[in-house]
Amino acid sequence: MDKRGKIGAMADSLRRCAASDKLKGLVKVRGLASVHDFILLLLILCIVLPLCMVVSKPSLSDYASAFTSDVFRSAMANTAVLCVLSASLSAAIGYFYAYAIAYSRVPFKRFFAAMPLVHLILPPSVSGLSFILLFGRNGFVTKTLLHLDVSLYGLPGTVVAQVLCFFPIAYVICLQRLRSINHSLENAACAMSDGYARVFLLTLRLSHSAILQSFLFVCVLSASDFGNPLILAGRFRVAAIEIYSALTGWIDVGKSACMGTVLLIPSLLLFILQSRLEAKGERRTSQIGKGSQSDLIAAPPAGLNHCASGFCMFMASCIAAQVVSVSLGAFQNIWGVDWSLTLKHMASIANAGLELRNSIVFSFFGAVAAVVVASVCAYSVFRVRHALSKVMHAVISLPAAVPGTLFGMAFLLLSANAGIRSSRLMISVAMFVGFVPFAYRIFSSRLLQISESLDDASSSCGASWRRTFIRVFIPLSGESVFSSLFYCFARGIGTVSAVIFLVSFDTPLASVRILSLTEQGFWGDAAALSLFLMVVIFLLLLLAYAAIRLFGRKDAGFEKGFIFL
Amino acid sequence: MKRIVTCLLLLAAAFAVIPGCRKKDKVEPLKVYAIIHEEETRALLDLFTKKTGIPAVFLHSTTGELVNRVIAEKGKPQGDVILGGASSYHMQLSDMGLLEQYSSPAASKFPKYALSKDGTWTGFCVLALGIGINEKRYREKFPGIPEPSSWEDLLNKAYKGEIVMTNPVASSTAYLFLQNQLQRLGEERGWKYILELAPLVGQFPESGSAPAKLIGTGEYALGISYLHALAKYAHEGFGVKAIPVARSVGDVDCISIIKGSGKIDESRKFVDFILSREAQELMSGISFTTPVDSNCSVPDGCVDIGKLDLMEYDADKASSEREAVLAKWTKEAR
Repeated sequence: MDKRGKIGAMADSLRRCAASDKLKGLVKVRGLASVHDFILLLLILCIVLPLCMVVSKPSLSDYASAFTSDVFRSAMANTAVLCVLSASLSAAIGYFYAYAIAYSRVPFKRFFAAMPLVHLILPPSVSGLSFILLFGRNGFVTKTLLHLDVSLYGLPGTVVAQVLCFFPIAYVICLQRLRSINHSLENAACAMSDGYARVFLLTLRLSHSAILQSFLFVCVLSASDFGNPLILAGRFRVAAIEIYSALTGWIDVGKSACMGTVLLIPSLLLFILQSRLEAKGERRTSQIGKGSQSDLIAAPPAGLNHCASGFCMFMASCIAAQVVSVSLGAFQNIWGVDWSLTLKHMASIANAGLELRNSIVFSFFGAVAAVVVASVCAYSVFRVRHALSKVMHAVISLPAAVPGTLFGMAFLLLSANAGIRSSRLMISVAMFVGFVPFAYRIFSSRLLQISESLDDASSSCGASWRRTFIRVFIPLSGESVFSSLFYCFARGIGTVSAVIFLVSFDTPLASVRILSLTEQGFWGDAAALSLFLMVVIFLLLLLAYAAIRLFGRKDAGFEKGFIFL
Repeated sequence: MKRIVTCLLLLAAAFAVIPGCRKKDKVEPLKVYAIIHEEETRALLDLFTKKTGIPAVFLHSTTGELVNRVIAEKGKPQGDVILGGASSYHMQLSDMGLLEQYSSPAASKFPKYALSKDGTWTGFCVLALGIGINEKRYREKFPGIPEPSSWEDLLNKAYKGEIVMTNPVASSTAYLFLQNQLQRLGEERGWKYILELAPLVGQFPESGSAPAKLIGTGEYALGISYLHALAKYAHEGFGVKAIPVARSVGDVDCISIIKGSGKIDESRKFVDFILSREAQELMSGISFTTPVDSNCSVPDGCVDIGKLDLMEYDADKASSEREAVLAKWTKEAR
């Protein structure tokens, strides 16, 4: 931090020398504008165009009949209830988990810090199945261990499953904020010998916007979530399911597209609110290049440490139970029914070689594209403040608010209307578009933490924006490069809804195959394929980590990124 | 040294991956959209290639997804043949002008219900509805009640929350069940039956295979499903029992050629092959479906079409009033 601090101080003095404010930012803009325009065009082609096709598909009468139907209204009301419940629970759990990791003394901290992220590499259709086998009416935990005769189908089950799915994301958002808090205020409170409760309240005040932000973020995800309600919602009908059944049951693209479009509106509002909050919250916390960070003196009381450890252990074991259940399922004769051991499911993986290779290749290309575009985009939006920057920010954030099924439909229409026959290209684009907002989010929050004086220093010394981008920004955000690459890659491999209409005869995907295997009742084969996929992702992660340890700069924070995401 | 080793490893990984996406077959294969399960599709295609020398590939998905795909690809289809799917879906595609006409000589002696009026699709196996129970859960939950054997038995109030049936909007199985009741009891009494049953149902999942799955794991005690799906689960080792019911209806899984397919000759050969006795016996052995062709021998555990009490089923009526029935169902039953 020392070196950066010095650079920052130098930059500050340089800035003072450059009396005119207008001088700032002028040097580095040259050349960036054309890149900016190119990327904006690309994003409009990949994101806005397909969505326009979907939105313009239904006729006005489709919209009219949707708004007046009871099915639609009750689905919307149910979606709202589900959203609020699972988002508030996810945000609360995510915050306390992050607090436990960042502030208290939890044994095996690295393990617990990484555990929530394991959920991200579980293919969604299998995590739903393992949830039924563990917590269903005849589930291992509910029936065999606790002897309960409960039915979680409906709202409760969906909420629990969604919380397990989405609290890791709330956790990441909160942890990011908690780690970037400057502890001097808390230390002052501690020095004035306040009780720990007051120190905690102070921390809460410093980071409360992260809770709100993760609440809104999970709201959007929960509204567009399809996998969990499909398996668990039972008679509780939500909008994402109605969209799917309008499409596959009524064979009515118009109706389905119109429900999707209507669902888009609240999602967009929430999303706009969320990104406003994010920008406001993080502008205050920029710290890299602004002198040194003080450590927290206040130590949490022993009671809190125990609570935190217990809490972490409980949440981690919920996730671990799902992973263990999948691993066992791969070796049982019939997962959860006939426990005798067999290797036949593992042998069936040999049939899925092409699927596995396709999944890995396409999502790798998708992830690389997402990282490159997201990083350049974040840089140009937050450093250049071009007239079109706001448009670009909105466009690149848009896919996060769109239900996956709707995007799947959008790409299907695009490839049919534009005559694009290459399903390889379309799948890679779908994976890129689906996860680029998350990469962008990671980069932009990193960028807001890096003081602008570093850029000023670089450009004052005559560096072009490209040089500043490559030599200053990228090295300082190694952790973001790594975490966004991994995130996009792992989610791309697992995604189903956006690519289900795009797979073709020579481009089958592992995630789609897993879904179709579970649909046909071959659970063992599905579990075996999932397990294999998880191991592959994990090995690739280790390989990437090893490569970065060997080639990367030691101070770039890559190691931290490894725990981080 | 370490760097070199890692470099080599990364290179090796890259090369292991890249050839996968550059592989190209010399002969363009026949492309089959498969709605019937993957296992039997694979076996059937292998046998077809072995017999005719025509290479074939397939893409498996649910009925709804594949039908949408065929509609979206209108004019420039990617696939050549649709294998499987209830007759109502094929009728819908045929009405939209998306199917090629072909009356296979292999189907000349087939019963009328397996042949389309306009000569587009042909049915190859019969799917009959029935009741499935998880014997263990049933005995635990309802020790005094004998197993249901008729559709009326399902209306027992004690079953509340223990029945599972698919959502008729999303699944052709459940729509067939609605039509079964409407055609069996007549419009008025049929709806009374349906509306009386609906509150007893625990959930209406979207996918046609869900009831057999949920009964198989003992999540629910009873379900309404295709008998062959239940027989298949029982054969796999799940604790499921398939109960044929009097006055039930059957639908046929159909095959049709997509209009605009560039491989008409190969597609016709494929249709002939699927309707042949050899292919039907192979399929029945895997999926426990009953071939339309009554000359075929069927495996143990499979429902014998001769022993079923099937009623006359008016598929055209079912297809034409689908929208209206589903709208009423959505409004009143759910």
